[in-house]
Amino acid sequence: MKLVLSVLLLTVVAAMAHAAPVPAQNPERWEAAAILKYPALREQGSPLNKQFLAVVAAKRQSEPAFFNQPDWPLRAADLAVEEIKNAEAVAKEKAMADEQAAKAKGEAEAKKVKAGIATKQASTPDQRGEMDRKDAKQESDRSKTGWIAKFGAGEAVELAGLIDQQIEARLSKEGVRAAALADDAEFVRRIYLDLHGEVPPLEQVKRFLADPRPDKRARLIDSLLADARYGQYLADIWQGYLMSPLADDPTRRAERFRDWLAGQFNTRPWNEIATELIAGTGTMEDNPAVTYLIEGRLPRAVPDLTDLTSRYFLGIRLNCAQCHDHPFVKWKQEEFWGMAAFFTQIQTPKRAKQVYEKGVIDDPKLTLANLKDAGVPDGFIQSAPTFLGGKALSPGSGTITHRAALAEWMTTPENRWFARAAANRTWWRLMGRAIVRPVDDMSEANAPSHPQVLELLTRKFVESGFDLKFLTRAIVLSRAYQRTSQTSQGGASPDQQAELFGRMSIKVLSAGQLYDSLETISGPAARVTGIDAREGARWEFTQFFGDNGDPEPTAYRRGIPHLLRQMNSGQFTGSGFDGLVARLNSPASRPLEETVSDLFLTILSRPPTGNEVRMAKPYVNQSGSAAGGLRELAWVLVMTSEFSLNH
Amino acid sequence: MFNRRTFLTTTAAGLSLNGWLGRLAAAAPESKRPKSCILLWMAGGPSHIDTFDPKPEAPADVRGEFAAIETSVAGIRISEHFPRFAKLMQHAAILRGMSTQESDHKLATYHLHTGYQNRAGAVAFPCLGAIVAKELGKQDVALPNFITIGRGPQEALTSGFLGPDQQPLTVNDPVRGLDFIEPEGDPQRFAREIELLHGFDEAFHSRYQSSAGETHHTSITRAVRLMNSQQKEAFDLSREPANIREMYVPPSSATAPAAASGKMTKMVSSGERAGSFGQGCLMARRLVEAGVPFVEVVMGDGVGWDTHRDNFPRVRALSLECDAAMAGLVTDLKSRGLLDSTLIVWMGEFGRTPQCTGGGRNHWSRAWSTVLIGGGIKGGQVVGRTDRDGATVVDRPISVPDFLGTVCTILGVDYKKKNHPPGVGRPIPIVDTSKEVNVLTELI
Repeated sequence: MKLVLSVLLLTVVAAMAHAAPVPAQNPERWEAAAILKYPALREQGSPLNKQFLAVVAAKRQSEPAFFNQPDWPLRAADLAVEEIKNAEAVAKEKAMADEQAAKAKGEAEAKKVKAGIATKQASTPDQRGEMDRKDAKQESDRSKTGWIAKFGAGEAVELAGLIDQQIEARLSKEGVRAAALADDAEFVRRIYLDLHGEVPPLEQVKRFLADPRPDKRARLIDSLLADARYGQYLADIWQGYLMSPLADDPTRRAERFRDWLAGQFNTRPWNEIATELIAGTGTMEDNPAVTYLIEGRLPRAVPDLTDLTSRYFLGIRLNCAQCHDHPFVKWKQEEFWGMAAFFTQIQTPKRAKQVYEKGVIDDPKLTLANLKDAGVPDGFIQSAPTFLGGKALSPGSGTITHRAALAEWMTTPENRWFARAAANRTWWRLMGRAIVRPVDDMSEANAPSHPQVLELLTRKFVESGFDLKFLTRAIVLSRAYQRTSQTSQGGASPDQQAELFGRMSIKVLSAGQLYDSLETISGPAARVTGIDAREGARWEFTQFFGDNGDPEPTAYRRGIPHLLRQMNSGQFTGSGFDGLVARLNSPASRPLEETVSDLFLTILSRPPTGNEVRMAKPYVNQSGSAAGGLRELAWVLVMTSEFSLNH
Repeated sequence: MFNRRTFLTTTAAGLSLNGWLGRLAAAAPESKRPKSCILLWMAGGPSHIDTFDPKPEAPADVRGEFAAIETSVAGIRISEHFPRFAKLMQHAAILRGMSTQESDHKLATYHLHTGYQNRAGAVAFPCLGAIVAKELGKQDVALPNFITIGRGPQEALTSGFLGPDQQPLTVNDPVRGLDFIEPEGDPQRFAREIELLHGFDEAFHSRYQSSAGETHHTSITRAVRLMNSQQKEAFDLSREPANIREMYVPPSSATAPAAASGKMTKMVSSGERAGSFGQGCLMARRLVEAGVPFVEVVMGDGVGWDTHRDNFPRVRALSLECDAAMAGLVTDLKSRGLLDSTLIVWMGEFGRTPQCTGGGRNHWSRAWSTVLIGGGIKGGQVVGRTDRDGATVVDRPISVPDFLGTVCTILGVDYKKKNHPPGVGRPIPIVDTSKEVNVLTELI
């Protein structure tokens, strides 16, 4: 190593020989002194070594006389050391300043969000609409500085047309007639529920129904997609997928995760969001993205994360292959463990809970072998990280973490699974019926019902740069999405019609949609005895009424306990409707017909039929007071099947 | 399908619990009656050494502060703070060989309730209550087949893939009764509302047909039927005579002496009203009498049995309360001829460390105890044995599948039976049979 430095010095000296005569004093003596003082100088490639060479180069440019000093090697070494120290100090200060700024920003954001929530809770639905529009403008302004969408309305319309072509060709081939398009009332309720997760506020319903423009549906779609609420709704859905209900402190954790996800869905493409989720580092407070990974705080989490990631991001169920080769599909046990190996660097084998203090960090020394320290998981096979499909992680990629490599592989346009899974899942959520079923099991055993449609969606999604808003816009612009769900007389069976997307499937309001819709209608929920007051009201409600995982959107899963509470708790309904009734019933001289109509428009997003008015009016009149009668009518409307279903 | 009758108020055919049904229950030969299960869930993980596996020979910091007392069965000793239950040991079997894998509350609770470890996999496993409700419950009755009393672990008390019909109905406070069983206003108004509801729904269902809509309709019908049934009286404890209600609660002098410091009164199951566990057991008896196959009564809201600190004062208070409730329940069932057809399961999610540190014990899943009572088992036994310190199982280790397989067998449920949940793609047996299941045949 002394040799190396000597060679370097000689080179330098030789180079300078051309410039000026070399003094006779012995530089080797001073070189030896420098090495004695700073042993690291000898190591080729060490920071000091590099800095030393940089100093020499700089001095040669600016101060050739420097090298007239006999002890210049030692001086140069001293200078190098000092420069390194300064750089470190500056970096440290910057890091601290950044941290402070981020913390302050985070706190300010949190305060703003809290203030926003408080103002929203205290306001009427229309005031809220105004605030949402302001938020939306802010969000869209922000996105201007980040990722820019490649595809606009034109491409979405084009894709919608192509989708319809395929679907209608198939309907015609099977001899099944397509249902008519949904009427405006059906459409406005459906689109609000599917894009914002709540029924439309009364004023929006009235405005939309009265709008004479032929392109009003497309305009409404545009405004809903631009609104911040779009991202919030998707965030709600994905928090349910990605955060375990068995987590500690779930309310706060879920809220923080949701807030982060909302910003992501509103401004970034799916490949970037997925990368954040899979390759994120840090604590949950600093980087809420890691909430996904932190649920895997136990070493057994490596197989769990493998399974979750493949299901939600790749649309593949690998979990069977953990213990044995899959019985019908090609996944082998080695392939499961090859994928699991990508998650090994974040383990905390010594003490599981330290992940909460230190955050998620990648330790390159950890491998699958460390899993054995905490008890061998079922089916364990020692594997090197191997992407699905057999390509091994190349050893040269030691500069990026396994997870970053995995995220990169997952989100390249050539990856067969990533875009396809997103397309299938988005279609499933909006149409109520996936093209490959089950939605997260896209294997050879489950053939797509409409392979060309899936191919089309996947290809365009990739071309758009993984733009979920574009994909969503294209789907909801299509006739397939906008058809009525009513069963028509004659022709094919209703089930067959729905299977071929000739009729919209009837979906069930999720717990979150139920809560948010009821809040839109009647204002914030009252606290009621008998309901666990310790958790947040919305969290408690959605846990009670909801389902974890991936329930089919068309399956109604509530039983006696839920209906008892819905009918009799007074939370939202009954006395919870006093505010709503008071608002609608003023002035008191207002004709009953109008008030009843407004009640239907508020709760069911449509005007009442003549028959319904004929039933409702005497009902309200025979009650003790108009307000009481209207409240009862509101109760009835909320309890109807129509309200609980997204039809 | 949808007709007025399904919605209009119906009264059940005059079934009164303490009258006709009670006499019927008493008269029926016991073997013909289908079994029921009352699961007493001790939330937090009760210390096995301080309850049913005392270690008088161990060093003081393991043995703890409690003495062991003799029971009605020679050779079996339990904690001195279960004096009344000790006299009923002939009906019970203590399973001291429990040895499981989870030490985290939520994961262990899930594991013990469903028999499967919580995995990220797509299967939503049903808990034992939902399984028994499905296997043993009658389908067209007013009362749900799975009822929980007390604030239980919501993530574990799920019907999973068995669907809405097996969802548990929860009574948060047994003294208050079943929440939301009465309409908010007066019953006539409710009846009118239901009738109008029917009118609107009929029109909707004729135009929009879906199984989701049908299920919604059915759920409302069943809920309304429950509201109008006589069986809902099972939730009304005021119908029990005072002497029966008192059977389930320790005399007030029992817990008072320990209340030397004012803090004591807060230490017993912090969220519950004192004595509510006992009343919950009484309600469970009423429900079983009315034909409900599975009732879970939760003890230990808040800190409960999770005694990382103040282990001895807390466990003493909890034990005395639990002792009275269990003894009351067993005695009450026996006197009504229901003990042989009702299996009582006393369990938590794990035990606690043999070593006491700082006056507390931490989680310990390697060796702990559960208790089975009644249900026609051969009582007066101990199954499984731990070492001198109660730290490891030296004889007859019992895993979660062994335990649940045994419970199923006693109840007459085939634990190997496979369910085929939609969208899962493989059959799921009731109990996890991936490793060999050893049913404790000595109990049956």
